[in-house]
Amino acid sequence: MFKRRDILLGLGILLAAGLVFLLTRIPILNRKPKNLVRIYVNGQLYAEEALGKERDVTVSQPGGAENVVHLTENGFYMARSTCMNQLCVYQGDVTEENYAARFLGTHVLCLPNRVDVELVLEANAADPDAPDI
Amino acid sequence: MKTRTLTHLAMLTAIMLVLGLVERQFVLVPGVPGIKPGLSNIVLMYALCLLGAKEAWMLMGLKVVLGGLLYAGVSGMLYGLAGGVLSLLVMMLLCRLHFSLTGVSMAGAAAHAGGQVLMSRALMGSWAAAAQLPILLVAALITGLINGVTATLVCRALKKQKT
Repeated sequence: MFKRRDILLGLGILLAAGLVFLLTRIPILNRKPKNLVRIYVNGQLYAEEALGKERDVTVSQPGGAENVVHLTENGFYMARSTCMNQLCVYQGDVTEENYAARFLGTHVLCLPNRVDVELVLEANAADPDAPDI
Repeated sequence: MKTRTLTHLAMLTAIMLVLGLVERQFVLVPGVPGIKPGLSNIVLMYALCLLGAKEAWMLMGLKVVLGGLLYAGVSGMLYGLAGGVLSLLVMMLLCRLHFSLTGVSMAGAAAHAGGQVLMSRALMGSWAAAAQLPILLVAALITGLINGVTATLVCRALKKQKT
C-alpha cells in the first residue's frame, strides 16, 4: 500500500507547506497596502496616490483652476486652491482616524473647481468585484 | 460509448456529487475554512486506475459543472475546476511514475489546494489566500492518506470482482 517514494512525496509536500508558510510571513513580500488618496476632477479619476511621504500634489486644470493637495503620513488636506470661496481649504484634514467624525467623511470637496479628493481606506480599496472565499 | 460504460460513468458521477454534497454539511476543522475530506477523489482515483484517463477527465468535468449548478455556485465551479484540473494532471503523472495510490492521492489533494489558491490569485488579483496554503497542504496530506488507503482497498476489491 505504501512505497518508499510515497513517504518521500509526503515529506516533499510538508516541505512545500513549510516554504509557503515562510514565504507568506516575510514582511517585505507582505507589506500591507497603504491607504490611497484618489483625486477626481469633473468626476473623472485624475490621480491616485499612496499615503506615506509628506508631499504636495498639484491639480491643474485648463482655464487656470489649480488645487494643491497636501498628503501626510496618514491623510491629506487641501493646502491651496484658486477657487473663490476657499471652502475646500477650510474643510481641514482627513486622516485615517478622524474621517468618521467629519461631516464629509473621507472627502474634501472643491465645488467651484469641481475637485473631489477622497481618502480610500485599505479595506475598501480592493476590487469591488472580487468574490468572497 | 457502450451503454454499460455510460451507466457506469453516470453512477460514478452520482456518487461523486453525493459525496461532495455530504462534505458541505459540516466543518471538518472549526476555524479553518476550506478543509474538506475530498471523498469524491476516491471515485476519481478508481476511474483513473480501472477505467482510464479519458473517463477520469469526464467524471471530473461532470462533477465540477453539475456540482456548481447544484450547490457550489459559479465561483465554486471555477475554484473546483482549477483544483480538479491541476490535481488530475498531477495524479496522472504520478500514476505513470508508479507511485502507489496513496501517494497519488496525497499529491492530488495537495494539487487541488494549490489549484484553488492559483484560481484565487486569478480572480482576486492578490496572493492573500496563499497564507492559508500551508495548513491546507498539511490537511491534504492527512485526507489524501485516508482517501488513498480507501481507494487502494476499493480498487483491489473491485479488480478481484472483475476477473
